[in-house]
Amino acid sequence: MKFFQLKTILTATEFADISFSLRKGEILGFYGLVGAGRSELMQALFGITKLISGIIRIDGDEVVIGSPADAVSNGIVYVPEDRGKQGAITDLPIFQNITLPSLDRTSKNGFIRLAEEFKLARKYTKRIDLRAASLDTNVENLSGGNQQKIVIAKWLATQPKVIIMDEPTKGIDIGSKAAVHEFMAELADQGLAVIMVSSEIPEILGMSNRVIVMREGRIVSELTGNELKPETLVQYAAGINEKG
Amino acid sequence: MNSSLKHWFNMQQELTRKAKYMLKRLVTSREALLMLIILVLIGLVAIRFPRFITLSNLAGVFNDTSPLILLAIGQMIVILTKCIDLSVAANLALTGMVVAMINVAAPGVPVVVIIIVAVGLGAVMGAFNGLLVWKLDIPPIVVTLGTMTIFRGIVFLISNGKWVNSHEMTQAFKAFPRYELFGLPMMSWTAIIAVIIFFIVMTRTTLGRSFYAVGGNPHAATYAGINVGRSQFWAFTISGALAGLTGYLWVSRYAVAYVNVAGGFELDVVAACVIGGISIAGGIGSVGGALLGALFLGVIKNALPVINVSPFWQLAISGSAIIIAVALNARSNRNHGRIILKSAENTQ
Repeated sequence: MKFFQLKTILTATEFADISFSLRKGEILGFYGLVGAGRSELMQALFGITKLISGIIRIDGDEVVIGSPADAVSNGIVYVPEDRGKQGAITDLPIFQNITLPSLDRTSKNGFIRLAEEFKLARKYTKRIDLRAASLDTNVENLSGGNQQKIVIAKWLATQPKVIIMDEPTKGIDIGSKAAVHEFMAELADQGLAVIMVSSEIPEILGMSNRVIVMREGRIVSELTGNELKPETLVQYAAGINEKG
Repeated sequence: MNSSLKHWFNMQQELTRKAKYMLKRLVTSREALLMLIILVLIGLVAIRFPRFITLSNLAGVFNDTSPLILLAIGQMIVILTKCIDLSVAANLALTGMVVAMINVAAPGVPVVVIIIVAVGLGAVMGAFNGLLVWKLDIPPIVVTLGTMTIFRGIVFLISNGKWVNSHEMTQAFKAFPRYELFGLPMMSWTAIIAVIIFFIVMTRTTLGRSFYAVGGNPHAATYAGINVGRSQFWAFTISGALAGLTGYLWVSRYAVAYVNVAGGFELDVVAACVIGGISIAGGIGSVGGALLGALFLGVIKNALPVINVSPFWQLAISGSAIIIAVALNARSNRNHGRIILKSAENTQ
């Protein structure tokens, strides 16, 4: 049942004693104050930072993640918080952004097959309901919401098993926000395991099946069901309610 | 009747709008603009000196510019990945000296082997730059400034400062770049083949795509599973290989090898890239741009003496061209905004 599992991982300076597991079709929320180490944890899961120790299992198999490429090939993808800096390559057209992590599938012996690229890009822009004039348009010409959609489409195109979304609706308009939420629920329904990092209490309460609260680089609490209340979240995150 | 007329009218309007848009796009494209400027330049020279536009003279100009084209392609790829390679001219000089000395020591070695050695040696030097940038994280400008001096120093050490002169080289060694095929010397063919190969590499391969991704946004490229350092390493290796190849062509064409071969040429190469619209910030550029940037400098260099303009003006004109190119880049980057209006979507 436990599809994704993580045991006591740590890095030298960022976080320690992190263990959690994740089921298929579940949305696991990560709440905490800014600087609690949530993004750093996700980046470590994705192979950006090096772990000192720790075991990651997917479907019971232990996997080694040393680089983002390893993570992607193991079905873990990360939709970063700062899409301008880490998400989209704005000088490249939409279709090239979407196929970037999937180039293995749209190329043969290192040669890109344009028809395959457009096919993949069209499939996933349709899925995220992107309204843009053409797939040749450079991403820099799109609105923030549409750029976020491109970043999500890019990761969906890799057919992931675990999708990590870091502040998925930060700084985008209300319409796109609702679309992203709807979409996240849809992904979970389709059997993906979703990890959502968010600092917005309504979002985290509304979307998550379970919430892990982090404070100063450690997990302080795991909440489900009727424990999921704004006061409880904030108390744990701020360290007021310390019962372990 | 009336409605079909209206329909026809609307369609005409649509067509003119599309045509206008396509024309605008064509005219505003950097390559087209540069092409136009080069043609105007050639036209102006032809008014003063009609023989300039004979086919054989233009072919000569192209042949003269071939080394610059070869190096500009490599440099373009390096700049695309947010790096710079200042060691290309020194690489060229060292490879040229080594192959010339091989030719003197072992005249029996066939030219094919010489070319393979030149490309290989150049690639090794480029890879050395690339490794320093990748593994030690040293800024590329510092790495290549260092290796530039090291490579020149090695040329001096292995040659003791002596020249390898024409009469010491074998005929076969000197003949290759001049050997004509369909009216063009092999020197020109090498540049043409390199343009074609790298056009394909940059637009149709995953390697080419990774160069654009790394330069456009290194963070996003990392998140997409691309190893930024490794891409930069390959860019330097390609640049080095092309510099090595040019080293042999240069030394055999001018039939002399010495320490200061192509001294300062790395700046011409960077200039060609900048004029060709390659963004120094990385991520934007094309093989066509590098080719046209090199041709622009080549035409200026060859045309101005013909119409009796002093060589100092050549420098001034090349310099102005660089500044104008960078200014145009900055302007075009500022001008276009996001597409939010529905009515603006169609023009994209």
